[in-house]
Amino acid sequence: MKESLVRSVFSNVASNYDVMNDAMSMGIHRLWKDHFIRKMAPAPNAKLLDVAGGTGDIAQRFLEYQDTINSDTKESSVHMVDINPEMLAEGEKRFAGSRWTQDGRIGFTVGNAEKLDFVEDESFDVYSIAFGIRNCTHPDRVVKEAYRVLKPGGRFMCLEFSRVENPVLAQVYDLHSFYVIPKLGELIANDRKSYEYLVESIRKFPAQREFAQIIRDAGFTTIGQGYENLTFGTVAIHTGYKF
Amino acid sequence: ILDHALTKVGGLGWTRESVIEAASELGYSGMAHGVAEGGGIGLLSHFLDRALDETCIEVDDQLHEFDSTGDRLRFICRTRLRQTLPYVKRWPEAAALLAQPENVPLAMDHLGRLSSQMWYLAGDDSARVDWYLRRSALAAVYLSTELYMCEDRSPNHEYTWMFLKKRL
Repeated sequence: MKESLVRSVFSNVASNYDVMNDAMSMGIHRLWKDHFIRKMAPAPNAKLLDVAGGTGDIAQRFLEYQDTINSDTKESSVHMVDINPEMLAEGEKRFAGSRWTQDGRIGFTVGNAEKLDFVEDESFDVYSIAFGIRNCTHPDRVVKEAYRVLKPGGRFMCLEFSRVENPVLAQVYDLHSFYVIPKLGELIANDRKSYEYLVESIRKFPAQREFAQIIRDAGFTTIGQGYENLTFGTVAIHTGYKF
Repeated sequence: ILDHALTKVGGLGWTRESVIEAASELGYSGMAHGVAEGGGIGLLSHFLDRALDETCIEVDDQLHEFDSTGDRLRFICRTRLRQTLPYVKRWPEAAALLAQPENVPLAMDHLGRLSSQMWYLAGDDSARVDWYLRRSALAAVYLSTELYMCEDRSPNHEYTWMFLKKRL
C-alpha cells in the first residue's frame, strides 16, 4: 500500500523534484549533500550503491570526488537503485551525455530497497540512501539489506530528515513544514497533496537515537552516537560500519 | 585497523591513505577508513590516546624509585617522549595538523589530559591556586621538548634529555 502511494507521489514530483528541493530547503539541501560526500570521503576504487538515488545528486558528487580528488577515473563506480521508474529515468537523463556513462561507471536499476535481489552479497564498499529511507515501509529491512550487500569494512550512510531537539526552533520548523511547504507545492508543482505526504513522512520517521539503534540491530558498528545532526537536527547523517 | 595504520605512517604520513592501506591489508574495504574520523587527524588522535595509556602503564611500577616530584615528572615526560620517537620523522607533520584551527580543540583536549595525567602520576594531587599554571607550564615544556626531539641527532637523544632537564 505504502509502496504504491510512494510510487505515485514520486511520479508526480519527479520532473520538478530538484526545483522543489531548492524551494523547501532554501537551497540548503545542496550543502547537506556536499557535506555528506565530504564526510563519506570515498576511497579510490570504491563502489557505491546509491539507493533511492532519485535524480542522482549523490551519485554525481561521488563520481566528481573520485575524478578530481582521488584522480580515479577508472575503477570507482556507482549503481543507482530506485523504486520509481520515473525518478530513475530523470537520473538516467541527467547522466546521459556524460563520460561516466560512456566509461560504464554508472548503472541504473529499478528496485525495492527492502529486497535487492539483483545485488550480490558483499559486493559494494559503500551504501548511501539520501532522503529515501523515510519513504520505505520497513526501514529495518532496508538496513538489513544494506548490511548484506556491503563488503566487510564497508560503510552505510543515511542522510535523512530528523528531529529538531531545540523547542523554540522546533516551532519555527513546524510552521515551515505544515504551512510553507505544501503551499510551495501548490504554487510550484501544482501538487499540494504530494508535499503534504512528504511532510508527514518526515514526522513519522524514527528520531536520531532510535534509528541509530535500528542500524546497530542490523549488525552494523556505530562510532559514538552513530549520527551527526545538520542544521539543528532538521537533517541527520547516520553511519554504520560492517565489522 | 587504527593500530595497523600507525605502522603505515612512516611511509604514507598522518593521512587517510595510511588508514585505507591498513584496512585493505587486513581484508577490509578501504571505506573502513572512516573509523579515523577526519582522516589523518583521527589517526593522530588514536595515537595520542594510546601513547598516554602506554606511558601510564610503563611508569606504574617504577615511580617509587624516585624521591622528588621533579624527578618523577622528568621520568614520566621522558617515557611519554619515547612513545613519539618511532614517529619522529613524521612528527612535524603531526604538529602542523594539530595546529590547524579546526583541530585546535582536539589538540587542546589531548594536551590538557596529558599534562593533568603526568602531574597526577608525579604525585601532585593538591588543589592549590597555581594548578592551572603548573599544567600549562608542563604542557609548554613538553611540547617544546617534543619539537626539539624532532631535530635532535645526538646519540641516544642526549641533547633532548638535557633540554628537558634544563626546563623542568
